Amino acid sequence: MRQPYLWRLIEGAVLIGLGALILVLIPSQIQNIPGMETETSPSFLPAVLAVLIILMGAGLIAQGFLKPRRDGPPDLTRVVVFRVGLSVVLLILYTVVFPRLGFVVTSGVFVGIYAYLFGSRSILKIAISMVAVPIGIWLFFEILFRIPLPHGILY
Amino acid sequence: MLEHLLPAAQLFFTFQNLLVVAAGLFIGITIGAIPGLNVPMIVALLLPITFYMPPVAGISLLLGVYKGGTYGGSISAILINTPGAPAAAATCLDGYPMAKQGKAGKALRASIYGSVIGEFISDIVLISIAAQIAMVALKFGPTEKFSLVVFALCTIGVVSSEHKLKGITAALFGIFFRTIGSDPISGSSRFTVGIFDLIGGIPFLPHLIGLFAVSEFFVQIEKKISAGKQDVIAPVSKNPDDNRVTWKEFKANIVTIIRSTLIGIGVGALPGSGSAISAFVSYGAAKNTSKKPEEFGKGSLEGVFAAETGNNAVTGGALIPLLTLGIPGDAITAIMLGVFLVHGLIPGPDLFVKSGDVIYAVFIGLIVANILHFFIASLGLRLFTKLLSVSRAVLFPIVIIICAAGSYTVNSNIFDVYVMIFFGVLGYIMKKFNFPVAPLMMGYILGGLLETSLIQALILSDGSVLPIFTRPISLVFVVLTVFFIFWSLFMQKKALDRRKRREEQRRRNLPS
Repeated sequence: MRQPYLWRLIEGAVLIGLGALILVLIPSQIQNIPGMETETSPSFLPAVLAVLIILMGAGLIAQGFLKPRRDGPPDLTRVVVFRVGLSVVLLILYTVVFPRLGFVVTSGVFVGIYAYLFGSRSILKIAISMVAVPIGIWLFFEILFRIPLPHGILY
Repeated sequence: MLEHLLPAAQLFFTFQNLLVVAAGLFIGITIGAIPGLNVPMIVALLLPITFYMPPVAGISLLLGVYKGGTYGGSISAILINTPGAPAAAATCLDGYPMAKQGKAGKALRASIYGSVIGEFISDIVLISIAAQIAMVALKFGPTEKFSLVVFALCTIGVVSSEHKLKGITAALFGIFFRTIGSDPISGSSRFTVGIFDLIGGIPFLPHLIGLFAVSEFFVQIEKKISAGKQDVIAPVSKNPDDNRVTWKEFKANIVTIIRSTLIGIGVGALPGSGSAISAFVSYGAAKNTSKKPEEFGKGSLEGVFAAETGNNAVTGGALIPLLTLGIPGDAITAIMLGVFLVHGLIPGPDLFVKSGDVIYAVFIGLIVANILHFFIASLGLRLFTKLLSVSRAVLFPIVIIICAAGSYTVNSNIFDVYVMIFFGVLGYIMKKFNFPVAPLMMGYILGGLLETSLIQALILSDGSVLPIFTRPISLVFVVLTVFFIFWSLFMQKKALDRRKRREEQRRRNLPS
């Protein structure tokens, strides 16, 4: 028997799990109105979607057994996971900080951090980006289109 | 019609109107090209200004922004794989691979030609037979709309990736995300997990920005640039043919352009459907009828022509239900309805009789806008391709900050930025596991229309699903859906067999 493609089986299992999770959450997360017809009830479409997702998951598992693999496993080395994970954490930190400190100042700092993380070592380019970009965005949103950005305690 | 043309021409051809159309196009292209900014927002901001302008000038300004914005979304789609507007997601599929091959100039030019031609033909059709098309559009009830959306989503799921099941799964999740919030019929909350900000549903723009721009940011940050090495987004080829569309290439794609235009006009004429549906259906049709379907998704010029023509051909079609029935086709035409009403132009069959001069002046403005669009977009081309020479290390941080600002300013709510990050992470994971993100976005966009049409259809048929298969127009879409799926599978198998035969031949020809 042909060796099943492991990643396809994992993907299928995850989808089946997610579909089942949606079905499990429906009673607690959706308030059905008594007397409402099944087809027009708020839980109808989510339930249908959950069943279809489970079927797709089963289809992927079947593919894992029946079809030869064409694409390789996902590229998830330690370095990749670390760099992307760090970027996510920094982005969340930026989102927590900029309403408090102010958009312009925080954005300037984070543009510099990200440019360094990407590998730029040109101090001039980083410095110009840290100043020009947040000011440009501020001018565009606040001055040109009068859309306020958070000023925080700094600006 | 003819009796209105001369007075309409006199009304339109003033310096102010020409300037206003050009300004609208420029604003639209710029805004459309920047991920994090959206065209409906700018149209809404410009709306009050148009109240103080003569009606032709005011409407022409917004139409210029509409046309420019629809094209502008393709610029960032091609250059940095981030659509500036939802409809440009189809352009990402082949535009960005072309840019990575050094053919960004070719892709951008194809986008201009497809956009301008699609818009031009669409506008001519609008001017000639708007009323008749509106009558056909009136026959679309909830059952037909439901079938159309299912057809559109299946097409999108199937054509946007080699992995059909994954594409359809992504679309299903998109529809699921759309159900989060309040039920459209009863108002009950669904999957809000106690978060107040989710009662109104997942905000659209942060979702779009996260899924495309932020996920791409995470993909880019995987690779660090070595110190001292200039790493650009994509190489710019020195070969002149890589920066232009040759006459031979254009001729080879004329059928694609015409077919995509007709799809765009048809889809645009249906209230509630937008350029995104048209772009993907046109792309799918092109892939299924192409002599080289295996090139789609890897930098096919035909794919870019199909997506962009279908995308822009909607603009004329979308005005049909607006002008003839007063029903806007999308968010932008909904805002434009305000301009018409403020200037005393009440949409409907009488509009063409009572205000014929003004309406036909607007139509002339549409045609002139197409010509100006070509020149303005072509002039901006060199500037846009220069972006490719900017180092990733500088460009992507700038993009992420603009995205955060764009997400925040939608509702001045920091929660929206967290939504952006969530979908950025989700989009990144999807890309790593070869799940296409475009169907998820389209599922989200069309999920609302899908659910309300389904519920309305079931109410009208007392809970029976039979009308979906018995009403003629609905049955056409059901048949097209099944045909599309099987045809795509067949074409994929054919391409796979061809690839296997070539590999076998290569092995046989290798010296022992």
